Amino acid sequence: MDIRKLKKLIELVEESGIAELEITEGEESVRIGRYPSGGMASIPQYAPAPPPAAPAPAEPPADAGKSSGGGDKGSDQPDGHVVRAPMVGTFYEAPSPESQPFVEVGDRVSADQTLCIIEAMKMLNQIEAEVSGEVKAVLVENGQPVEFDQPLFIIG
Amino acid sequence: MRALLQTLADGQWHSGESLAANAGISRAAVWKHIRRARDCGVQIQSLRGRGYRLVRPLDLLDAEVIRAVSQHAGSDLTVTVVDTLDSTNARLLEASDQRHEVLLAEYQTGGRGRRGRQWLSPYASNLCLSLRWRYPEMPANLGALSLAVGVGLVRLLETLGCRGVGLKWPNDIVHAGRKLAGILIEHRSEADGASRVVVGVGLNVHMPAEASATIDQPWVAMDSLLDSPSRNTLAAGLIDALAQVLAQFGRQGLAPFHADWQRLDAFAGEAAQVLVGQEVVPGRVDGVAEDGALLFTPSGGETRRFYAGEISLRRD
Repeated sequence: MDIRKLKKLIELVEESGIAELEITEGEESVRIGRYPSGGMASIPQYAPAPPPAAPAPAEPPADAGKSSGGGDKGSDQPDGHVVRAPMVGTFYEAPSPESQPFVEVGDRVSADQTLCIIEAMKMLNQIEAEVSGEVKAVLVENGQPVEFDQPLFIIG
Repeated sequence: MRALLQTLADGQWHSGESLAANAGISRAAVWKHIRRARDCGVQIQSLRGRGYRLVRPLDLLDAEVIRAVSQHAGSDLTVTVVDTLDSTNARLLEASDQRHEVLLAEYQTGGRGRRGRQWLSPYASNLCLSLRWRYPEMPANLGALSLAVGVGLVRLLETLGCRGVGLKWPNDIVHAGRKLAGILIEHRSEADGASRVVVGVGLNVHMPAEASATIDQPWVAMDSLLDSPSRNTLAAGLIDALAQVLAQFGRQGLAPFHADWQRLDAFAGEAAQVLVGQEVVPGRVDGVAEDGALLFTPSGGETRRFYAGEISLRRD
């Protein structure tokens, strides 16, 4: 299941208002949950999105070390350096609503290049790539709340 | 343009010839500068035979005066005044320089608020000031700096004699429901693990009435609340207040500011709504948590912590 499909499913869950969705496709299985009222950066009610993929029998164990954050690397997610949220806040892909995103999938980035902004309590935090490489995946939608340590990008 | 405005700042009539001679420019150049100044919001009268006169005298910034009055300005904290630029925050954030630095502009062509909102201020009327600070290591819970800066600013305004000034989470400075000052903080990490923080403050000092049509929210300026000190004195006070807050926050976090934030909370206990993304949550404001989060109790629910969103009072 590729990341685009996962994103679609997450959007579907968000739009529909259902609390949880589980899909099995061949040997892969994914469960997507949402918190009761959605869209809130509110610690107690947080459920990570995307949540851990349900263990699929035929799969090798998730490569520990890289995804200590808890199963956030789906089976088909590209390999690479995972850039994580250093704080709770709102994810913005561009410097302002009218501007182009800082980066898109396929872009080459340098280690000090800004990938996104996380706004927390009206402080705008520029998040850098940390490593140089290609943007393999953008894991969060513009304007969505993110939690501490949530994976944002994969740079490979 | 600045040389010309310095001559005009006294509010007296000056002929085109004398302005040209003073500034060492041609009459045509005088006319061009006058037009540019008008574009920046300076009100200039012109009369055949008399020349030019400012509708209101200008209170221009002077870096030397600010440095002399400020206790923190010096080799560890440089102070620069520029006439016009895009945005003081953007300049300090992008510069390769890492030192503590203050930048003030008489006029910003790209003044910013949150998320691409414009921050409007006619030439030499208010204060737009940014301060860059470097923490060798990112302080824990850096987001709460936003609230600490708000408290520092209100404390300064209180010592100047401004009464009834409060805070709207996380750090809008309000007086009777109208905005007096706004704060925009930007942060990025350096390659060596240090944190670069740029605190931008827009403080309404002498907002001319004709500017109000271009501002989309209720505002108030200092000159309507008290006999406002000169912009230079205010700028020096602002620099000292910010430097003190940034240093103390680096050592102690939000703790030394939390009680004052609660005291200054303009919305405490009010029925309000929080706008987060596309969602509007009605409920009641219950102050701020120790980590700076907004404590908000949705109608019929339990108190929750918000780290993002915007509060507005419910008028029902």
